[in-house]
Amino acid sequence: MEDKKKGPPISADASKCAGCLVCALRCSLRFEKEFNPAKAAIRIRRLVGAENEYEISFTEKCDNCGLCARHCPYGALIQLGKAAA
Amino acid sequence: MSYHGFAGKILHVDLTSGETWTEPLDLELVRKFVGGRGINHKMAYDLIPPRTDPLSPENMIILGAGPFSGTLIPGCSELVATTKFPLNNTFATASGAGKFSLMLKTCGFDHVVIRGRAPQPVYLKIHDEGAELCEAGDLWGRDAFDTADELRLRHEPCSIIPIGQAGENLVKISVAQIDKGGTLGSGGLPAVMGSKNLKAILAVEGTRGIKPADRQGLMKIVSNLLDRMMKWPGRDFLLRIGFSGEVSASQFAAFPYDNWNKIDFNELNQDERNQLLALHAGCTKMLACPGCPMGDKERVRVQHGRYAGLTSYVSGMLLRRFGVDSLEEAYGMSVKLADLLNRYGICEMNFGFLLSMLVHVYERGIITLEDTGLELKEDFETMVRTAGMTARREGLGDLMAEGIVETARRLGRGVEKYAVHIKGRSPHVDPRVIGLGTMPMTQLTDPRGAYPAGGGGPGYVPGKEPGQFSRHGERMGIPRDTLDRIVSADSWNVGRFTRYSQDWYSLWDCLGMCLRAPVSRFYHIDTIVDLYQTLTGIETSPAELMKGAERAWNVHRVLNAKVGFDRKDDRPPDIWFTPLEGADGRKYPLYDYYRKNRLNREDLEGPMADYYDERGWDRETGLPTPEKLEELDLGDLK
Repeated sequence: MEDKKKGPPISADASKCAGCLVCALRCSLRFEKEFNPAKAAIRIRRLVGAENEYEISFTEKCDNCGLCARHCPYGALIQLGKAAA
Repeated sequence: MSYHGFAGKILHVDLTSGETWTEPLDLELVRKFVGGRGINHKMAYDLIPPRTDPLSPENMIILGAGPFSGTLIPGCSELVATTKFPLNNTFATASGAGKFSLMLKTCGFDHVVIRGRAPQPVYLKIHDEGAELCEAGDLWGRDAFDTADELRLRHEPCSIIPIGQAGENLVKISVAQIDKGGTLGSGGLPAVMGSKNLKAILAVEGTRGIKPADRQGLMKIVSNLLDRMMKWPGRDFLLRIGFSGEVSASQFAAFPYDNWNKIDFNELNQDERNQLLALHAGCTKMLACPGCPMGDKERVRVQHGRYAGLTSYVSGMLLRRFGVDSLEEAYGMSVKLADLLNRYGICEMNFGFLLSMLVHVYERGIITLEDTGLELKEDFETMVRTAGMTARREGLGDLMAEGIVETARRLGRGVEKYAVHIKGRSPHVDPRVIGLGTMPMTQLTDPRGAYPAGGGGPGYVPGKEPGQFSRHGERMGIPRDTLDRIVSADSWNVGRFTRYSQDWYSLWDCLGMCLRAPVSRFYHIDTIVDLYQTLTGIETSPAELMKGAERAWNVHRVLNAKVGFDRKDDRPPDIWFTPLEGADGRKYPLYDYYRKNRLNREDLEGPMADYYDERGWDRETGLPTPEKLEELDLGDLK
């Protein structure tokens, strides 16, 4: 599996997530050429019973391309060891 | 047919029969009305009889998600809702941000038309295949936030527009919230839902995607916008203090009290204001709408005082002093009041100013304890108590639930002359504070009644130099020769400029864009045209898009003309011509925007006539002329 990855792992800090879904919208556009968070390789789930708190996970199709981390406006996603281009 | 940007379908729901059906989105309608607000207005014109009682089954709720909403175009998650509002009988379109428009489009719909009345309480669940009505008897009586929590348990991931007790009890000064964070429909949208036995509208995350026509072209513009927004120097401050902090940080962060007679700009000195903002920042975690890097809606957790531990959503809350010594206590009280009003679903502006009027006439002995049933003061305790009474329609609250005009009428004894309103809505801004700029002008002329959003831009604050209006006009796509005519080196024409400001606002509501300043400052009409073309694949131009937005505004005016509204209703409240009194004794009379000339009622005739003239409307009636409608290809509306 690892050899299919395009880059280093993505580190997620859910406490910083504001629920904007920029990551998931960008990801679904890459994989499916359309906007829909359900079709993204990154999943942002609002925690039921909590207020404005989220769980961040990745599906198997995530290849660490880093687009989500590049576009995350709130510092919740960082691609580890990725030097600034 | 293949749609880009748009989902491609309109969902119809008849609550009376329980039937639902769909129709394809007509691209000819898109060409003419752009989307969102524009298409909503045309459907309202075609479907809702003008004289419909807003709380009858014949009234409809039309939701619209513009083409930009639900995409990665930054700050585009607005949903618009059109109905005939019970507070003032106007047809109007409200807009609110949140996840709903994205969820709706993933279910395959751009618009939803809801009609009829369900025999029993229901909530509407929209999904991939269409929609279903779900039994809501167990939710009836619960507040809006509790209802949202319960429905999240059942249907997450989803987006929810619930109503609280105010909507159930047909309170006309009610307002809904999308996902606890985005207000939608002050003027009684929840009451319309309540009259239909509709406890909530919910859209789940569907499987349909929003497809851009030119993915790479779109992303090039979007990436550039996102980068610029991320680098904006004001962003860090905004994300620390949120929208409430932003509102409260302003030197104009004071509302008139004593029924628009007095104002206290020094209720908080600068030190105290800063302390309160720091307190707010320490209690806040920002909530962002989909696709927005400027997430400034706040979830707060009160840490001090008698409300310590209270967690709520308070976007746009005004931080107040409430006359208590402890700032921590004042902060907790500000949150508590916002939380209560949001849970009931009561609009703070229309409620607060109505109570202010009642206190004013009570203190003068015009009404008495016999009328009110309780001592009236403009303080925290009275606000909390009367908010609950209004939501439940108890005692005085049953009267307040009808709104300011009807409350004054029923009380009689001359109270009507104390009711400060434009077309039955309380103003949000006072031109005696900020001068006669675009916001007061749009409050006068918006068919919805006193509502300031169509007058955003430099006129949000007083005294901005004409060059700023010229640059803003360019951004809005005002042609050069028009700009030269309405903006000079030392001034600008408020009546004429307001027309374009409204059309700009109208365009944003057609597209699904958020007009809050931290977002809107990054957009130019040329950028919007490029985004529209790459997203939808439909060729357009600044003039064509702005014409679509202008059509939306004109249909809005015609719709309300059919109810009976015209120029006579674009009436400035009498109080504007009496100086506002500062707590320090200073007087604030009405001046023009640059505070050069003091204005009386007759002086407003000029700007009003300029406004109608620039719109191509009849100066006497204030309504679109047949020639204007022909020019806009709206001849069929005559």
